[in-house]
Amino acid sequence: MDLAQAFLHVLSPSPLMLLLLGTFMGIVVGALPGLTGGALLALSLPFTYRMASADGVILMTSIYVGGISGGLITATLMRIPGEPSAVVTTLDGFPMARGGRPGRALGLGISASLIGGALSWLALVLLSPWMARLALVFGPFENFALVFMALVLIATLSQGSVTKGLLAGLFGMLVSFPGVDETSGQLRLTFGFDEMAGGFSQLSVILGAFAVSQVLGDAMHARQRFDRLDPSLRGIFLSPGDYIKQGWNILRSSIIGIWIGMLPGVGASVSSIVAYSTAKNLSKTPEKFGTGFDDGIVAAETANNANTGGALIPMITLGIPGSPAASILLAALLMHNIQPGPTLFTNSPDVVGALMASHLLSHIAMYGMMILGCIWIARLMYVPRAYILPAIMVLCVIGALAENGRLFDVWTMLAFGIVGFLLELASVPLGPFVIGLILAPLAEGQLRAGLMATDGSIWPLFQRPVAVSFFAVAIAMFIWPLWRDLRRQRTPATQNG
Amino acid sequence: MNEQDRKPGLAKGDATFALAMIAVALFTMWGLRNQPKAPYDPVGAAAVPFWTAACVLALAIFLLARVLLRHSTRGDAQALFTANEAVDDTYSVVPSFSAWAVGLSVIYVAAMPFAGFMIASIVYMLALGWVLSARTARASVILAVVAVALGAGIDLGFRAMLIDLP
Repeated sequence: MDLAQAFLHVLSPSPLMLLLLGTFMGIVVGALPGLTGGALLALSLPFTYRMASADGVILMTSIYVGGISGGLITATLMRIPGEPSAVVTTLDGFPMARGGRPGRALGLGISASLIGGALSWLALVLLSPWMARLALVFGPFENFALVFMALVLIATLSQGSVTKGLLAGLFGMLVSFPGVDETSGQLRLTFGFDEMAGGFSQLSVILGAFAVSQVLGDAMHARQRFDRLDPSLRGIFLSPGDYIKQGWNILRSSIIGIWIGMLPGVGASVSSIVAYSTAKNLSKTPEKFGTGFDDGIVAAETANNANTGGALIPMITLGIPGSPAASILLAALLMHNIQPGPTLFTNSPDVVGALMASHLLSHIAMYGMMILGCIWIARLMYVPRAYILPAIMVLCVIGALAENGRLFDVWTMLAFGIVGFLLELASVPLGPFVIGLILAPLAEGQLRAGLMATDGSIWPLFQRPVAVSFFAVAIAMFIWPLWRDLRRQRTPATQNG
Repeated sequence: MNEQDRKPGLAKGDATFALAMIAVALFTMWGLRNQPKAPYDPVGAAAVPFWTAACVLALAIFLLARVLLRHSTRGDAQALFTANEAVDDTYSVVPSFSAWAVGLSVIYVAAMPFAGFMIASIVYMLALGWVLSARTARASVILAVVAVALGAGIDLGFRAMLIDLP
């Protein structure tokens, strides 16, 4: 299926309905503080079971795009970022809205989101086939080294401490090991329980870690109330001059968003921070940032959405997700027995086409929905969480049951929900945990395939230039933050001394 | 040392996490002790989980040592987020609500095989909703309507989709 056919497919009635529904739900959940697009993606995962693979991908991609975009509404109007990635938008969006120009603040954010998303779509379409061809020459050792590097990158670049990020990733790997070992067919780590023979259901663990943990955490804030708002939308449509004036800012922030999106495990939050900081550092009027400045909103929102296309590139070409949300998309593909990676383009071109087409079309749908309905979407915040949270838990239970109909999976989900909640309380990032869970079978399979081919010798792993380069990057990425922290701790001590 | 790391809550969280990870690693290693060797496979089913558990053990001990030596265990990115985040302090956070949510969810799942999905879900939504709501007469009526409509609607909808519910 070529790209034109993929667009025609997505624009046919049933997939188009899924795309519009997914985008809308993503925007709504993205706008609501607490609930994130990642939680909605996890929650939607079981519902894609009965869909054709391409349709499931369309729904998930549109939720992903909507979720990233919706956060700007409440960040701008109420200084309450619906998504972590919208935190930076509050810095200039809210002062501009409070200063009497909410329509312009929203217009800048929504338009920047659309252009950032469209440019990242271009990168997705142009870079993916090239990267897939490159990855075709990789053997098992190269693939293992790549996954190893991805895990280290995820841990070091995600928020918080490197040690805790790595521990979270490795913990996710440990959770994936119980059950039947695919290479030898032996049972392992079942501790004598028959239910453990199938291992922990990946879906239940993801639902627990992303959705249940968030419900448990959000319950603490159930009494939060928001002020009524009735802003004007005057100025929401930008003039051609605005686009020209912001051209370089948009291009630069898009490149930053795409590039950071391609790094494994780094979400949109980091993209918006880096793009905002860069725009401020390069500006002739840096003092205007934080006071309701156009450039600040545009940089943050362009990078947010540019991240989405970037994150999908390594996911479809290498099987390595560029962000925690992309890892759930990866899980959706695996659930449909589709193995992402270089062969995806030849084995499932319909899925690749659906993903690419829906990425662009959901950005366009997002633009229309947010321009027309942002005020009504913001008002959904008044629905008390006491009604929403129990319903989400019930949907999570349905999701866990949908896979195998086993109550054991529901217990697994609940247990990992509590684990996820406790990890968040301890400031341990959940992204590396979920990505470790998903990548561990791939890493183990590739390593063991390589070792079987070399009669158990590990040395060929270090004789292959590509594999060695991946290891070198991983080690450098691991040592650099530790060394930097150590230096930083010593510097004040020396100065004080 | 980072000023925030002096807070006993954060250090306690890191220490608890490190101890939990040590327990998980040791438990995994213990679970792998009798794993038989696989024919034709030079590595075996136990090797990769064992190496992973060993890495977890080493890193957890490292983290624990840093906490005990009062070194910083937090990264820059997090500090940036904390500094920028818009804090709404116009309401009080109620941690006991999370404990209620955990407790009621456990009872809900345990009761499901006996009460059936629909009844258990309606009672669960009513109970958790009541705990979290403002507990006024109006809120209770809305809650009851929402719980019954959603509980029955979800049950019927999913049975129609041939999803096997208890």
